[in-house]
Amino acid sequence: MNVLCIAGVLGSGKTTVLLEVARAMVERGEQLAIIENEIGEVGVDGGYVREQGLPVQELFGGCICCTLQVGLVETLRTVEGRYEPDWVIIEPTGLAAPGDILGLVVDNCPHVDTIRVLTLVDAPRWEMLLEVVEPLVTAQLGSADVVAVNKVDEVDADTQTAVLESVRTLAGTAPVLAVSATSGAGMKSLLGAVL
Amino acid sequence: MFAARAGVVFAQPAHADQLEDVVTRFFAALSDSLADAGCTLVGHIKGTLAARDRGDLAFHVTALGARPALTGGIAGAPKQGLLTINVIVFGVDEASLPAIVKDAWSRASGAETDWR
Repeated sequence: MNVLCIAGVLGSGKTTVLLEVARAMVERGEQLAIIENEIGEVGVDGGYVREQGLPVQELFGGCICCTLQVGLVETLRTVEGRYEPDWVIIEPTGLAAPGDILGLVVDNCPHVDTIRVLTLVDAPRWEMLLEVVEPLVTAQLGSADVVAVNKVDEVDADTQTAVLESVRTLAGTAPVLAVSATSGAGMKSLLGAVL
Repeated sequence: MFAARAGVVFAQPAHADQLEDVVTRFFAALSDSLADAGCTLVGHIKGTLAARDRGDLAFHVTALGARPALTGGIAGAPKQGLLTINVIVFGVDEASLPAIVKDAWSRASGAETDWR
């Protein structure tokens, strides 16, 4: 069983990208399960993903990188038993530090073969997010295996170049791709990088 | 952060375009109130308005003053629905956020709303 964690600040397009990745996995004939985590007691994304015909387990009322760590480990065991998936896609809250999730899974889930972290960046709001929640943004990029700068169709060419350069300084050795999950631009390269 | 569900009863059956208007007015009212309350950043404001067996309307924004992105839709003209809302913003007093959201919804929708 392989795990893909799709991280990114609130509103960066995690659910939209997740659906595209999930569709690609289904087309390849892979079995998958999805774990949706929302920090509130009431979730929105899980129901939406389920309506697309995908198997979803939801974790509410906290964050799987900290307060719901036990819940994540138990849920991974549950989905393994229930769906026997080739892939589990985890969508943590937009406030999660994926490095903590990575460590948690590696330490507690020996049945997981590989875990990869895809971190999304919200191109139009990059500067603002960097100003207000820099530690979060930095942590999410620092743990990424692949970074996708999303919504590039919503910024001009100069802004896109500036955001990509800025993100690359924080992303270490992870490849940084420019994508638009809604228009489909760059998504083929992204799918190739994470699957 | 504020996340809640609410049963909603409109004064009159509401068609899809009227429901979209309600959601748009809600975001406009909420944006004004959040700005007044000192909001420095919208994490996200998202939710769904669902009508049993008629589908649901999903909506979200990531900036104050932005028109909500709407997906899905509701068939016919339901009088009742289930609102699910999830608001994460920065700079606003946590304790005052529920009242801000509820007040904006009430003003925008005029619907009888049972928050759960």
